[in-house]
Amino acid sequence: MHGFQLWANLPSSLKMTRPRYQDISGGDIPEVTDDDGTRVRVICGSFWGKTGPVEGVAADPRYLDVWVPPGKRKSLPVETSGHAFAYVFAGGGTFRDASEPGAVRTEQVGPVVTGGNPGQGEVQNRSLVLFDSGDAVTVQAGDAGIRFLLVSGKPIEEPVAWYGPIVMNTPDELRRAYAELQDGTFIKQR
Amino acid sequence: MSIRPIKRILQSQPTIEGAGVRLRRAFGFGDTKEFDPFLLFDDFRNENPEDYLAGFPWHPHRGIETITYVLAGTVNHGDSLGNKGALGAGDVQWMTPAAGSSTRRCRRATHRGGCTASSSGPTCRLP
Repeated sequence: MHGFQLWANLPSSLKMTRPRYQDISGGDIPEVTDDDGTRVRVICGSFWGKTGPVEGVAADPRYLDVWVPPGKRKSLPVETSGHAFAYVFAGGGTFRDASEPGAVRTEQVGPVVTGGNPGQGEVQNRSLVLFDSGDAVTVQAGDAGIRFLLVSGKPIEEPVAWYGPIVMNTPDELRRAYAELQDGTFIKQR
Repeated sequence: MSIRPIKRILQSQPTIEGAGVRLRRAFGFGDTKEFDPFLLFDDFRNENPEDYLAGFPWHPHRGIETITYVLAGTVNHGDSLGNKGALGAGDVQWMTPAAGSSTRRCRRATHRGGCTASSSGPTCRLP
């Protein structure tokens, strides 16, 4: 059993939009392989000329499943105006600024750096790399190659009032949602 | 081309959700402003079937969209709109609960013989 769940926020204008639901078969997710063996599944958004089947997400994210073969170095474009992160779930490697190759140690066994000293250490299984601004990320795959999700999206920049599985803009809206749960009016469509 | 420098490296943290499902959460604790528009990211990967047999009983959602991507095993899913299905390896599901729907997920390991989670009979219901 292995999977991932990502929550994307909705802007205030769509918080109360009609619920929607879409199941997509793996066969409908485009996969593109580069000359060096780098393989990318495009789940959402566009990459290397392919567009993923998940459409209409308000945050307009891009969600890629990337495999880079052992020892290969790869630069992947990421749109400039957004936050981006990579989540490593197989193998290991380093993500780094090409202009500062000395800032990163390439092989490190053991716990991953958590906070502080950005850029140090090999990024391994179950680590998340949060990127600063720019228009590409660079990855150097380790001896076992590296597989990661590369996710990016444009910030909504609205206040967040969040409790459990309900995320609104204001504490009042949050209270109203929980009051509706109590009085049975929470679900608007059946 | 300007390469994005690394801001931070985080390790996903063991977390218990739903009816006792053990998973790892990379973010979704406290302030998530630097991940905006994303709020939470979970990695559910379990070698031990008991870690996820319980699944996620009916629970409400509002104000978000969720994208679930399955690499291995099967996730059975249902919601209060009557949608239901099973996500297998490589499948993805996108859901906009928005104004309010209730959902549940049960996870099943098809790659391990004999361990299945019941997907019938939610253990709790919304009013």
